[in-house]
Amino acid sequence: MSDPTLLVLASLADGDKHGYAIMTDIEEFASLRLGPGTLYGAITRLEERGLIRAATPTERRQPYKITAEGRRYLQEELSSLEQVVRTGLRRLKNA
Amino acid sequence: MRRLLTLAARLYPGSWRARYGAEFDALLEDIEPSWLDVWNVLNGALMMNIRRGFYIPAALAVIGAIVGGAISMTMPNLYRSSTTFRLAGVDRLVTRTLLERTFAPGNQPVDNVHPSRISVLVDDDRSSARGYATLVLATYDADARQAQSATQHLVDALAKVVDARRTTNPSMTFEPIDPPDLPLLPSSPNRVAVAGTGGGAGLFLGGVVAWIRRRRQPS
Repeated sequence: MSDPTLLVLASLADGDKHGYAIMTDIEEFASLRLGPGTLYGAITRLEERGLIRAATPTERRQPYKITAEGRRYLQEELSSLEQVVRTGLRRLKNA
Repeated sequence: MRRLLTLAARLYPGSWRARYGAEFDALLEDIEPSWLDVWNVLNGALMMNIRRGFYIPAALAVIGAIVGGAISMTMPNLYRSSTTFRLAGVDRLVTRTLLERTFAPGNQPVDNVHPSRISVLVDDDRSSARGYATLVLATYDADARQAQSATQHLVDALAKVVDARRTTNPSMTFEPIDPPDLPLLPSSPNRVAVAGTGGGAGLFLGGVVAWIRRRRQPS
């Protein structure tokens, strides 16, 4: 999974985080480092689509919160991804 | 490196920076910057500019390139056949007078070749001081063999002119160096250049349109 918007949503699924915290979290759970431009491109798109929203800022750092719509979207995307993974693994096993 | 990163971040559109600029700068201060990050931020700025208005210049550049490409496809191929020869026993003024009388634009066609299809290049200025001039005569035609044949006709015509002048200037000689070549590829039009010019014009026009739109938007 390398879609930055899904990675950001997955990172925010367990709580609010600001940009740097999202970046390090993704690096930990996906072993993938998102560049700052890629991360904020994803944040901009997600906020425009109403899938995340800004939470109360702490100094200059702006945490983000996943919205109910964002949770629904993430659930759907991960379910379809899970199906692809299960099918792929099953076929590999049977080959 | 950090300074480069900060400069790259300034390339994001103003409206984007007004919303995300401070937190983005804070993120850039938190990370250990690398060349990959600079490239990533530059790429992000470009994408954001395209999303927020730069699409007008980009779209017009593409349209301009397509129109330029289409126009270039309507332009006929021209083949260039050239020959090199030497005029000896003449000074630069005589050479120029001779060439202007024979090939200057507005002259009568020489052996059915219109002067607009002819180019003459004096190859070596220093040789003129030694009493001879090396010249390259080229002819353009939509047909490669026609171009070669026309060049040969012109060389023959010029040789006759020189022969006629030898009655008053016996030291004047005409010496062919390279015979007219048969071009295998067209020399013009340069379709990539025409399409590129169209793209550049579209980009410039788009930049002006985007600038006017931005000026008209309430801040």
